[in-house]
Amino acid sequence: MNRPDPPEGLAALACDSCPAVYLPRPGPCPVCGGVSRTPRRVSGKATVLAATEISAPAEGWAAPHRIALVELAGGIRVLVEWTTDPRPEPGAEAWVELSEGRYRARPASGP
Amino acid sequence: MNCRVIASGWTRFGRREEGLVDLACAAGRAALEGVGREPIDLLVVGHMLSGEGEGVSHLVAQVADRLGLGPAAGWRIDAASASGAAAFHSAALAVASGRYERALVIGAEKMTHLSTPQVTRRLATSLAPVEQAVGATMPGLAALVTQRYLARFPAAEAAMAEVTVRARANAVRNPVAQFSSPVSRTAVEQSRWVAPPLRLLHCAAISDGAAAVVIERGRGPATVAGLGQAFSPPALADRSDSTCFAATREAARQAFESARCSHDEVQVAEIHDAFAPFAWINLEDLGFAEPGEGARYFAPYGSGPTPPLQLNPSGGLLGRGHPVGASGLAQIAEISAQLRGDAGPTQVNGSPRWGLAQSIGGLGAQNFVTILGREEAP
Repeated sequence: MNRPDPPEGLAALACDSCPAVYLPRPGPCPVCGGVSRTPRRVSGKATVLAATEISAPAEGWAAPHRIALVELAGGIRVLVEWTTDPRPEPGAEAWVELSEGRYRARPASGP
Repeated sequence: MNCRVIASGWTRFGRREEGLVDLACAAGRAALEGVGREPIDLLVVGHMLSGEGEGVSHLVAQVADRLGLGPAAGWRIDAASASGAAAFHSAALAVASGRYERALVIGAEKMTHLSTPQVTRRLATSLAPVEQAVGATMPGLAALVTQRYLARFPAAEAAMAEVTVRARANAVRNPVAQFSSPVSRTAVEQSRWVAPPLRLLHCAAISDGAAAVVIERGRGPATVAGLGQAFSPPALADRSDSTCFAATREAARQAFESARCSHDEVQVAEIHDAFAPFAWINLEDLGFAEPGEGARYFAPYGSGPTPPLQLNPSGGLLGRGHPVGASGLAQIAEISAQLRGDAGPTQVNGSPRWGLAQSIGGLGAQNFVTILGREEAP
């Protein structure tokens, strides 16, 4: 069963100088360097590009710790903490949300 | 460039009892041996981890004091795991400018007094904050780069273990290397997972150590011929292509343009193999191989091409060890020794005329390429 897209989606920024849409970040537009941008919401549905399971995480994190590089609609890429076991395969569908200041993702289908 | 490297020095790499300042000074003294009594008027130290946990700050002043370099100018450089290369670049430019005559450059790091999770956290502080926030580590991101690369060029996977096997075979000849014994392909392939597809022996080891060079104005057997450096976004997700390091490509373009040599003329190179697959990515980014072809250099059982390039004679980061602030300078120290014919047991065949060193800062956020050439003094 597919879970519904979280209604609020993810906050993003649309560059006023080029077609780029990107997740909020310090500094100018990563594509054209433009500094003027407009807030926008984007879907949290994503496709996994790569994922791994870190067996020796940094101090303060528990092992195993899973991270994934995912791509949102429109080609926006974001590194996420993968919250379920096992780690996903490339091509898997995921939901991404921003929680406690971190991008986290889970499978788009499943219990 | 009117600047040459006249001496190299190292400590042994690996787990060392000495502190950071002791290591830096030992490498500095080793480089200063036999270069005459001309005064050093510039000291540049490359270092990443800030002596955190050791209670050391203002490292350059402490090193200057211990080495008796009171009248010299000096500064410390931090470019993450490329700090040693960055220190060299800044010193070479300062000497070539005419402001200074003779510089001592040191790269140093002390890591093994910390636990692996502590070192991992400190190294991760060089990553983009948004990626630190999700628990990214350097090996974790390197694993994602490798996965993306292998998805595009799956044939390369057969060469992953061979990178480490060759690095460790070269390190056996290097008296300062962390690893003094070879390793088998089976041992690499059966080592424990760190972050799939990377296993423990695909990753450079935590290490202590220091390297140093003396540079002065003029031309000679190890003249600074080409320098290049460039930035990429620190966040992996912000890069349009995660199967290469764009900063290396730009740094290489700059370095080759200023050195005015061709890739075919470079006979020896030290490249940043912090993770085994980076070796083939680096060969491609530097222009020694086409995209997807870098792994052929490491093809098992000798089935690949045999380019004239002799790679990582020191053992590289995988074999010599990777004290992060020292590695970039250790590479340049090795290449300069190769061009002077002064590399001892690691000396390559053929009296190379051109040599290259490539260093990666962070996960490719600031990369450096250095080309040295053999020129006769006027």
